[in-house]
Amino acid sequence: MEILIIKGTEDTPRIEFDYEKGEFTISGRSLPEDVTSFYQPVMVWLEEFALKPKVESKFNFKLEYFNTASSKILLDILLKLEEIAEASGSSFKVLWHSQDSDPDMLEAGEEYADIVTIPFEYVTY
Amino acid sequence: MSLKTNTNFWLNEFFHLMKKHEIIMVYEGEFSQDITKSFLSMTESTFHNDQVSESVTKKVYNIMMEALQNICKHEFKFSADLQEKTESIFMIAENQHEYQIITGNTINSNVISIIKDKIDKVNSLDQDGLKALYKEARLNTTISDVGGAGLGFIDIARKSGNPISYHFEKLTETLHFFTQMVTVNKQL
Repeated sequence: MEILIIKGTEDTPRIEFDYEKGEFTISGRSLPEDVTSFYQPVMVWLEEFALKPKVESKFNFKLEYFNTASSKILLDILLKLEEIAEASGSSFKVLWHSQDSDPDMLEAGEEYADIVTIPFEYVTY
Repeated sequence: MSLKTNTNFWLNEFFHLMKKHEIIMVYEGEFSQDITKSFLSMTESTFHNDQVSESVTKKVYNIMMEALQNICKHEFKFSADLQEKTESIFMIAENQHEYQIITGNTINSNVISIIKDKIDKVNSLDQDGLKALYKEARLNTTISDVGGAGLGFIDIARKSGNPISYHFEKLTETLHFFTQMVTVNKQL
C-alpha cells in the first residue's frame, strides 16, 4: 500500500500512514471547517487497509487539540480499526500521546479506550 | 458628530466600560475559519500567565476554539435584502479568580427552545453526568450539514466546570440575539 502523508496546517493535523513500517500517526491540531472532507482520504485508506491489514500495527494519536466534530471522526476511525482487528485477528495497539499539562487530553484517550477493544498505551511528554 | 473631535472622549468611555467588565479581548465582525485560525496563534501567548496553570489556559483555549467555530456554524446568515445586519461578537474577560468566554450572535427565534434545552440539560449535570452524556451523544451523533457534531455545549460545560449563562434578546419578530458566558476558574 502507498504511504499516506498529509502535511499538517494550523487547523488540520498531520497524517502519516506508513503501511510497510506498520506505523500510523495523526498529530497536531484538528479543527477543520469540514471534518468529513478532511478525513475522507483517511477513511478511504482504511477501507483499503482492511483488505490486507498489517498484523502488528501501531496507531499514534498525538494531538494538541481537536474540536468536537473531530472527536466524532476519531471515534469512527478507532471503531473502524477495531472492526479490522477483530475481522483479521490482527493485534493492533493505540499509543495515545498527551502533554503533561493537558489532563483533559489524557482523559479523552481513556474515554476512547473504554469504548474500543484495541489496547491503549499512554505516552506523556 | 465628528469622529476626530470626539474620539478621545468616547475612547475613554469605551475603555472604562471594558475595564469595569474586566474585558481583556473583544472581537466583533465577520466570523470564518480564517478568523478562527488567526486566534489560534494569539491565544497561546496571550494567556501565558505565571499565576495560572497551563491546564487552565488550555481549557480557555479549547473553549474559545469551540465557541468561535460554533459562531461560524450557527450564526444567522443575513440575506442581502435585509436592512439591518448584526454581527457576532466574541469577548474574553478576566479577573482575579476566573476567565470568562463570552459570545453573542444572531439566531432565528425558532431555535431558542432547542438551545435553551441543551444548555439547561448540561447545566443540570455534574462532571460524571456530562461525561456519560458526551459518550452517549458522540456514539449516536452524525456530522451535520454545517460540519458540526452537536456536542459543543456538552464539551464546553465539561471543560469549564461551571454552569453556562445565557440570554436571548429580541431583535425582530423572527430574530433574537443569543449571548452565552462560559466561566473557567483559575484555581481548579
